[in-house]
Amino acid sequence: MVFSSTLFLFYFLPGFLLLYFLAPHRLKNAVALLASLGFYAWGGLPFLALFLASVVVNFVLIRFMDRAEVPWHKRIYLTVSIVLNVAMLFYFKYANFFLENASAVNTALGGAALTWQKVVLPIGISFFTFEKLTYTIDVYRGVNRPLRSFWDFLLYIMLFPKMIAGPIVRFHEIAGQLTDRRAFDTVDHKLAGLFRFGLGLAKKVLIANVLGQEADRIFALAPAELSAPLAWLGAVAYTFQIYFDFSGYSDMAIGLGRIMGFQFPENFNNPYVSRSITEFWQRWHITLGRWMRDYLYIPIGGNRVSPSRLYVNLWTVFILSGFWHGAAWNFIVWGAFHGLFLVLDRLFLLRVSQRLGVLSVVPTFLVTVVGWVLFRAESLAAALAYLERMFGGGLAPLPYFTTEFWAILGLAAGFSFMAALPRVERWEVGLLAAERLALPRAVGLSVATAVLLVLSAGAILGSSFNPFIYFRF
Amino acid sequence: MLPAIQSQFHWIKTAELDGYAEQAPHPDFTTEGLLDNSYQSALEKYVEDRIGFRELFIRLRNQLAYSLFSVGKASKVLIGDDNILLDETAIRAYLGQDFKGQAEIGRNVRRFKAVQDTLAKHNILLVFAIVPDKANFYSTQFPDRFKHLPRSTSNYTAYAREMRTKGVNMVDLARVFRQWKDTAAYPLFPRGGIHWSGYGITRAADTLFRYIERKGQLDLPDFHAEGREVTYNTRDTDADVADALNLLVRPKPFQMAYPSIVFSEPKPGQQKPELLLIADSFGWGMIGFYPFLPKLFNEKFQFWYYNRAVGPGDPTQPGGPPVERELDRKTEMLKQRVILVMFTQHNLGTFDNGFSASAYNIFFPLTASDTAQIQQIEQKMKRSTALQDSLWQEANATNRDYNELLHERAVQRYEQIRP
Repeated sequence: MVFSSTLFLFYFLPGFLLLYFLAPHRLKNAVALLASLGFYAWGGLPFLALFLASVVVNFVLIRFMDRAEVPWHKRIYLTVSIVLNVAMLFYFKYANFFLENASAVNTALGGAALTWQKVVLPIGISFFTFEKLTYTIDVYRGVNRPLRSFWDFLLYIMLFPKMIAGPIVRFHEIAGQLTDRRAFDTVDHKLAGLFRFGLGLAKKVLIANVLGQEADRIFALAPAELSAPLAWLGAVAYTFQIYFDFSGYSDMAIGLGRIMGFQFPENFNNPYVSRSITEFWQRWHITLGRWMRDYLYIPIGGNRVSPSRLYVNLWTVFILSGFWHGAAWNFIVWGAFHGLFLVLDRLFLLRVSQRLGVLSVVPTFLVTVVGWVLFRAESLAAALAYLERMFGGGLAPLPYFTTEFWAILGLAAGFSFMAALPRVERWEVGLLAAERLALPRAVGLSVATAVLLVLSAGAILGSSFNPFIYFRF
Repeated sequence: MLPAIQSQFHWIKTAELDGYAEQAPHPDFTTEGLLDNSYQSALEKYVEDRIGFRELFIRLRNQLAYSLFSVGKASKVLIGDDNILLDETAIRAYLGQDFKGQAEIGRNVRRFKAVQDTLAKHNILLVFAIVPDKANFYSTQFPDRFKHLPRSTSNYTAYAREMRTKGVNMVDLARVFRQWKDTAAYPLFPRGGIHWSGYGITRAADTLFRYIERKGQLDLPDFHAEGREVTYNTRDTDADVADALNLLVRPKPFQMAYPSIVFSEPKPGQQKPELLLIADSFGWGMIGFYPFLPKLFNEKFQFWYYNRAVGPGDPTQPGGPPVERELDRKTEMLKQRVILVMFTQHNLGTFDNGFSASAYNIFFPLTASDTAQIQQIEQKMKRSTALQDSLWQEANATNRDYNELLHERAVQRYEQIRP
């Protein structure tokens, strides 16, 4: 069940909110947990038992780790927990990848192709694995005490708004809210949350889906049919599609959390106004960036190493980040591509972008567009063929696209770049993060929410085209 | 939550959506379906098709696309100049993008003429009427992106020329409509419809039936117009596409004219002959919009809609689903006095939808020489491993006998080269 489905919007969500608001305070977690279990089961019933078992094992290991007196005992429990979680992720997400490559090598050496029953990827495994690791490592580090209640731990992992595609919420960020959310249980928070949800839904169905339809058509063309302008148009359309799709999902998740009284961390901050790739990664998928920094980059040395080791560390982290996004070579190359620019930033690019000032937004954006081709293509070979057309495809007039597509593309570009003006960025922050709403603003948000929800419902019901890019990541 | 409540109780009446859409059925609950997620996705589709206020939401979305971006959300519908609704398939046919080639056209016309001559020996008149389409009629009103595309030979121009040259009984109503375009008192095509207008049908009928009378040496019952209603309230198919756009506010139509046609009882010497009509959807206009065929011909005339049988039932009652059924085609054809084949310009890619090809096979069965050549083709096909593989797969998938399928394919190939 995706947030933009009819079943979720008109049945699941209203039903859940009604029960949640009617439930006394002590039962709110139970209602949220049951809804989350139902939400997960709806899309991945065969994996539910496995999922629950892994949560139980983690909970027990963490309790043992917390009670252990001897440091190396703690380390053993930590190691077992990490190995179990990472092994599970590797098995489900990467087994096919490794086997396909091993089979290709074997075949190239004259052997027979290796056969294997294809492994199906459990929904949201990448995200909940990261959250389990976060919790375990933070308890080990003493950042927070472990939860006493298994059910609260299960709720933290399973909370349906952020379970499928994030944002990746670190335990200490919502630790207090898991047991008491009364501080955020206000009408203003609920209204702001509903607005955020409507905004995210509109970003996905009114912008991302329209652009995605054309991007899909262009990426489906044979390379020979692509002129350079058309290839660039497809790449740019996808660039905006993925941003409005993913940030729209994050908005919906953050909005839903806020309606329930949770304060999830922001996941996007106008990434396309970045003046360098380093800044881009501070603004794009922020929770993943933080996770990578705190649980991977810093443990392998971070900045406190020699420059050459620093570059290796950066590159390693981004190659792994690419691999996390998808078990295919094009994702690995995408990660390496971004890692390369992060290294170049430290070598000289940041100095160049400082001189360029706001103009450095343009080259940074173009680098991300090229990167998204690696991300979007079906394979590395397809990505390289597409890139070859972007840079050497020859000029030809663009085929026809509807005024709707051009208008939405223009709208997407406008929304993406308007935050380059600091005043606009401040206004956005004020609008989205306000905790107390004056009456005129509350009325304005209510009307805007209603309009966005009605328009989005029209788009959803009027079109069966409703892909969701991050569903099985 | 209101849409969910509305879907259960239907407290507020909303206008149904126009156009064909099949609602997803309620899925059967099974453990397998639940585990492989097919049940969940099917239930989501079921819910989506029935959610309350769905019609309003869709109309709102379509209206925005139409008003803001001049985009029609019905399949293949384009909005031309002056908000004239056009069919993309017809525009592409006008431009010659689906041209079938002179060889195929020549063969089809040759066969049609052979059938026409054979039927004539049985005193049966076979006539091909080319029906005008809106894209040809409003070729200057195309959306900008089609205006400057190159135009090459279309199926229409090639068939019209070939049929005229080969002596086929043919009425080119498309050419007639073009001649009338600048002088017609009222629209021959509506703004929001894809078929010819009611007024256009009455003008076409006059030309068509005079031709049939002259060629078939027939005297059909008389008919004439007694006044007309001029109105913005469209009738029958005159807003069929506008309705299919499912907007909140239907686009303003042209001012249309609806003549009142009076049919006289047959006078002495006049006949209401047997008729077989083979036509596409434009044929219904001569039956339902104005009842020319039931009034001028035997009321039990046959209508093979797209060359498929209509029935069981009364062909004078349009709107019923055409049902395919096995017919003794030869017997049915020989019962007729007139066989009228009517296809629209943009449908000529499939010519008469197989009518003359099957009639040709009936009246000119395969000879020993033909059979020998088919066998040669079969032998050649058997030498292709790839073709054999695909035929095996198809035979398995469709539960057909492999040899039967092979023979069928060989016959089809031979039909492409048969004189």
